[in-house]
Amino acid sequence: MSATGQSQHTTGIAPTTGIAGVGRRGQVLEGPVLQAIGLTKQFKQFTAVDNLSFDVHQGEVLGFLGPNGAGKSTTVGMILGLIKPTSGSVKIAGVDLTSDSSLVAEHIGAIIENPAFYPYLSGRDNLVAHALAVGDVPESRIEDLLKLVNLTERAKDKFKNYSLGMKQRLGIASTLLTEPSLVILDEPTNGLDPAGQREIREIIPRLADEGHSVLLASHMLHEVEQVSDRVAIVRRGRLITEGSVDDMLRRGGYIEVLVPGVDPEAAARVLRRVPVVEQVTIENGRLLVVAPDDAGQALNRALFEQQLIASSIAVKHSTLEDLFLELTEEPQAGA
Amino acid sequence: MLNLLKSELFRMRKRPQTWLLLVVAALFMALFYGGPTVATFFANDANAADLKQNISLVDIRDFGLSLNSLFGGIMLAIFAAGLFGNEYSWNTIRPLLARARSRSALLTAKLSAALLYTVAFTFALAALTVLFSFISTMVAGGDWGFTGERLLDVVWYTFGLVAVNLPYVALAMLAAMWAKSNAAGIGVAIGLSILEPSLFGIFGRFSFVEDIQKGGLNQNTVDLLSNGLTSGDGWINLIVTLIYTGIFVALAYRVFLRRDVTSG
Repeated sequence: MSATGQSQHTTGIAPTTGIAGVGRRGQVLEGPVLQAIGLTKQFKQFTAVDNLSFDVHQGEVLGFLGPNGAGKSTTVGMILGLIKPTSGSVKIAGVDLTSDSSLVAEHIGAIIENPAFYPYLSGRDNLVAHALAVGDVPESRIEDLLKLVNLTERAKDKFKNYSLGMKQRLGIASTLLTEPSLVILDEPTNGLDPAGQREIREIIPRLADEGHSVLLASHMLHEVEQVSDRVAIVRRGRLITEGSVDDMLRRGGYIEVLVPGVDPEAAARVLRRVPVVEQVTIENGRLLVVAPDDAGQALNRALFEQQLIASSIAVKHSTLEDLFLELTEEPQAGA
Repeated sequence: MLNLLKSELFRMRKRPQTWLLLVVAALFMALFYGGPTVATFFANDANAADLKQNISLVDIRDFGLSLNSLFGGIMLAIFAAGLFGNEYSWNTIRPLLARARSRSALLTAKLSAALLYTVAFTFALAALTVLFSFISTMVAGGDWGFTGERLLDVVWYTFGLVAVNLPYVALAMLAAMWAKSNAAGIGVAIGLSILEPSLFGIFGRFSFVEDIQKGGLNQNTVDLLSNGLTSGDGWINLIVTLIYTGIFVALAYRVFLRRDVTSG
């Protein structure tokens, strides 16, 4: 992953089929694939989404995080043209959605909440039905996609007889029918067993590698952390923070320093004098130093000069879960 | 819109319900003709002669095709309600909308599919009715009463049946979409077809109600079938019936184009 937000995924999985092209029909897009600009949605007195803005760039995976009721599904609904924004706009490939509603069908493939298909049709026929609806999808693409999601052998079975994992995989195949610029996955591993979750986690970076942008709305923070280039965290319909996963994780990180047999306060005083150190706190005899990741050598030198020997200096990054909880936790009543 | 219609027709073809509704209606029709055919063997001469006339092509409008009007209407309401109701119950409406170039294109495709099914279903059931009439007469040993003129009359009558079914089909779709429920669509369409004549039957003694009844949907559908499309009055009834259809379709567009689709 890079600071520019461009994907550098390597999954180690050989592509089973060619999802050729960048964006729809191999089209290379300039600028963000998706721009949400000041999106607001008011349902009577309730503001579900409040002046929300974010971009999704070509070939990146954006993790879209928020607690229940944060407005994620409403936002996805507005992006897909299912819900009309009270104000703000959505641009797809630089074009305003309100001026051309066909943009969604052309540029976006989406699984909304759970993958929903016609129960009386087989997996293959469900893809055929979707392909007919958009038109201009070669028959070979359906077979390629079935192969991609490992459903070729069960393609003739009725959708109603599929396991949840198979339904999710069929959902992902369906999103790729039109070679979309943007794939929206809303809780794609919901209810899956660990093997199923892993399969989906492996597919997502592959989509980005092949040029698709992915908007991944999920509660599975570990999963988002693993596959996303950037994350946007929303609470009560508002964007709280947005940035690259690396930056986010660094933001809550610290360097843990252990100096046994010495008064921790004395060691802390030494470390506070090091120019790159922002803050030093003591917790259970450990020194928690807020400083750049590469400050370890300077910290060690400063201690050594005062004849203090550190037994361990370790960089500790926070997890996305820590950050998410910190940012989205509601203040306690009376606090 | 054509792509969406192709997708609708593909799913219609693959869906068991599409064929099951016709099979059920045909079974009712077979019973309707089978009963009198068997009865001709046990009835006295006068009654047997009446029964043979009933099952012949001579009486097909009042006998077999009247059943087409009743059961066909119910089956078509079930079908039409399912076009939207099932999309909501299966949660497929949002994925489908995301595939559509526009909402109006999706609604137009669904309305076109409903129209095509109504025409195909009504004519298929009419053809089966003619076939049952023929088989029953052969078994009972009467005169089938076949003439080209009578067959043409059946064709015209069947066009009338299509027109009579259309407003109820449109209403079933509208109600199912509005309420996001299959049952609502079926209930409203069948409910109106039962309730309207019942209410006018109760309040019909008042002259002003009689005037209103003349403009009612039920009265015009009944008159359309009895007057037929070969008379001037029949065409007026047809126009009124189509106006009702148009109102239901316009309401469907208004609801569907304005609504936020937050579920289904």
